[in-house]
Amino acid sequence: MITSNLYEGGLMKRVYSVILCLFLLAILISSPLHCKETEQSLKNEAGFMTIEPIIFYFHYGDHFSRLLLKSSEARIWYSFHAADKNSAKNPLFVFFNGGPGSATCSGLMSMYTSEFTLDKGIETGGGDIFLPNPYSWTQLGNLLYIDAREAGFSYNLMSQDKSIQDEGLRFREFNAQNFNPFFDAADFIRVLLRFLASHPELQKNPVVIVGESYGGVRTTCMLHLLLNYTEYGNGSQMYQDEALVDEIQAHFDVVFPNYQGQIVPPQVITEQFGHQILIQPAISYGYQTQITDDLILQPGGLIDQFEQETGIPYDPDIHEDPLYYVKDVADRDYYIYTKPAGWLNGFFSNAARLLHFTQNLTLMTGMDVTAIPQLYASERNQAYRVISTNYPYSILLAPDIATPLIRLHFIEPAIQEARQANQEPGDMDAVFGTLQPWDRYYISSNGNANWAFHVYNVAIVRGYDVTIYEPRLGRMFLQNVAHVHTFITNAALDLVVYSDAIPPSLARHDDIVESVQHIKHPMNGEIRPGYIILNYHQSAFPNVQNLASRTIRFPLYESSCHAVSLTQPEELLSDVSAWLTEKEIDFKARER
Amino acid sequence: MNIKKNSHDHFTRVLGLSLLLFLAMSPLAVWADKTNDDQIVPPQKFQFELFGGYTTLNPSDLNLFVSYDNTIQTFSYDAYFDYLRTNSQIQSWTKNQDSERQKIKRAFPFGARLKFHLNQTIALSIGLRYLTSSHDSNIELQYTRNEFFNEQYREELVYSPYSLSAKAYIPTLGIHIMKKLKNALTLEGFLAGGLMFARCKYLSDWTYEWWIQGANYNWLTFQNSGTLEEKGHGIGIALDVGGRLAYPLFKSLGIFLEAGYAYQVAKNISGGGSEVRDDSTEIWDGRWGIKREKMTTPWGELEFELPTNYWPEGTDERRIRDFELDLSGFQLRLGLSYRF
Repeated sequence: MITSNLYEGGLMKRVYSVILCLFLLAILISSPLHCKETEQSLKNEAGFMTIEPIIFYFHYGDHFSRLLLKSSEARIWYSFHAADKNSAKNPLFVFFNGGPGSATCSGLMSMYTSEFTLDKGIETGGGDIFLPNPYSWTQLGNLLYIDAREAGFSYNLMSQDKSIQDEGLRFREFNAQNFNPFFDAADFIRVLLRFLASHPELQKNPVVIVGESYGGVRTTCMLHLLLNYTEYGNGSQMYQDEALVDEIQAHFDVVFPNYQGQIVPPQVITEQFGHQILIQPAISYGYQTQITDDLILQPGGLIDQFEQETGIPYDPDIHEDPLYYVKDVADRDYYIYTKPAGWLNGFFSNAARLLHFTQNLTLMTGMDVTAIPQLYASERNQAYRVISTNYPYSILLAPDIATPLIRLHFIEPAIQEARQANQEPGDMDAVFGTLQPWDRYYISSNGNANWAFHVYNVAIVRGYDVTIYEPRLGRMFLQNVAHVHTFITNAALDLVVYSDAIPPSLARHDDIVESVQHIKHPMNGEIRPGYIILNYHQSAFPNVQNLASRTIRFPLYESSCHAVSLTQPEELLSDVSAWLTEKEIDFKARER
Repeated sequence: MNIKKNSHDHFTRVLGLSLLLFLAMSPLAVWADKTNDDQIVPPQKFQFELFGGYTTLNPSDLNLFVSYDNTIQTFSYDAYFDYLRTNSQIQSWTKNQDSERQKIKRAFPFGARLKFHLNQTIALSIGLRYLTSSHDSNIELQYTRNEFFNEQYREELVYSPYSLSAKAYIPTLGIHIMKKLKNALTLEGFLAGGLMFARCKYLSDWTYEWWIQGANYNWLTFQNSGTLEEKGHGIGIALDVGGRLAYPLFKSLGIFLEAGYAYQVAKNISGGGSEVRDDSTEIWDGRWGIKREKMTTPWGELEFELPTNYWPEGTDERRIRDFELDLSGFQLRLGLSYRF
């Protein structure tokens, strides 16, 4: 009996306990606190998105003489940062740096856009540690950082039937089949759409593309691919990628169900992809560089100032590119000419070095990166990042092989990378295993990839206009702007993308625009004024209605370098926030 | 639809013409028979003939492949390099090509014929001719661009084989009118008509390599390869008109030499095609036609026509006409006859 009484008493206690727990759970579930938690259900995540080998081609109208290419499998690194509040109801900002071949992780992600950042006071001993960022863009929405193919943490895989040890085969991997502006943009679209598909809470949200430097070209190509997607599968455009078109159509079938299986027009597509933010972008870069030279070499221009400062006249026979003179003679950083040479690259290098430590990467991504299988050496038998540690194929060290501009932008960083390559700092070898000699955990700026875009590129050799200097890209940008709200930074101290050259470079496309105005005074009482007004020819794009003019926000950042988010983070965040609000993206609890 | 109708009309017209010619031969035969009254009628009614020979050919639509490939090559390489040189993007360029793409210009037809002699001047025949022509070329091309900074880009193309081929089986019914000449020679005129069962094929098996060569390096920078094949088959009209001289070697055996013109055209050609590029393969099937294409490049525009059976969706508007497999030509044939 006692036993029985005890049993009955114990049972009742347990029943009461269960009821109490259920009651508390019900309160918890129905509480406002938990409601907020549910709304914030998205968490930071990072990892790799696999892009399978893709067959695509370039053509100029004749099918059988087309250049058909097949890419290698890639594992593209991404890092997602949920918005501070109501992440599922906020827009998604897609960030990337440029190069091409430069990493986003040690670029925009480490420079005052995510929750943690490098300290910008590099001269005062800063810039060497990740700190909480008061100007995080997570206040505006969700952030998705993507490292381009072979940049940052992203890596390619050679097919199993090829010997990864063969240096000649690795050399031939760095060519147009893996590196050209259109396929590069297609990579980013694939990653973005697949990320959205795996996050249904975000799939229909507005997407704001944020590209820096060469990221301007990438954004241009991405938006042109998205807005005119069918033309990239029906032979109309030079680049043809049928698999991408199918993937975009599948995405639009979900986002725009009224157009299920139909061609979605650009004015509808911009409901989701209607905003671009370009930080010191290459847009019509061929014209930009020509005009930059004209402006800085004109009497009273910057080169005159440096000549007076140094007492050494500029000699084009010695420095074909005046930026060389800025760096070598004036000892100034061409990314911010008020600072000593190498100033900005110091930040990129510091960020890259820090990201080689697992705990830093975990801090920056907001997740335990040791849980990412594809980081482990055992998962990367066919992975490659560089041709060779010794660069026997490279002409990088040959003194007279390339134009000064190419040397300036591409060769020297590649040499730098080659020197650093054998000395990857950090603990990744210890945590994830030792990689093969041609593999790397992290590359801040991949010179091999960069050269594959510009030099070792069979598409260029076969006459396809896929270099960043082509007028084609400027025309595509102007077509995009007819549909998409556009924000471009005007960093006053950057010479590599010299902002004053951007409006006249767009004006060079006089078959599309009648005139281009650079408005420098405030139009709406803004603190940092600046607009570009494009006045289009009515017939420029017959399918676009009301094409008379478009206004680009072009705020001036007087003390900024190429990386505006580093030098004026608060101002940039503030301007972007105001501009997006004006352009009807509401960051608070959007109901779609 | 219009194209099909035209093709049908053409077929009907040619068939009608042949019948008319065939009927027209009958009075001639009566005339020839009267003029041969004084000659001895051999007892054997049947005659079997084997022959072979030479024919000129100009299948212009099929040969258009060669013009097309030459045009594309000249535009994509020669004209492009001229543009680069004019714009000071390269110093100079050179070209080495060891042979040319070959067009079909001739064939060696052979066949057999069974004749039934109605009398000494008129015979009817049933025959079968076979005609084949295949021209394989092996072409090695090398374009060298002299870049600045003492570097060369060398693009090497090999087509092995580059091949055009056509063949046809031509069963015919014929009428023959003979007249004995002096020295045992027989002069004969003939008209035969029938169908042509024809096939044609274009095959280009190519490799491309891009090398970069400098003072102490020579790198294979890119390579790919492919095979493009397009096949066609169709039925057309055949008419064979000519004359011949025959000479008896023995009582039943003779030789003959005949010359004439063979009209042999098929218009409704269709068939399969394939393109293999490294490890991607595309296969299709379609009706052959002449397509008008345009290439718009930074160095200019090129408009051209090409024969093809590749008509993916949305390209029909570029079809300017049907493909015509024309295997007509002047023929010279030598043969043996056996009378029994």
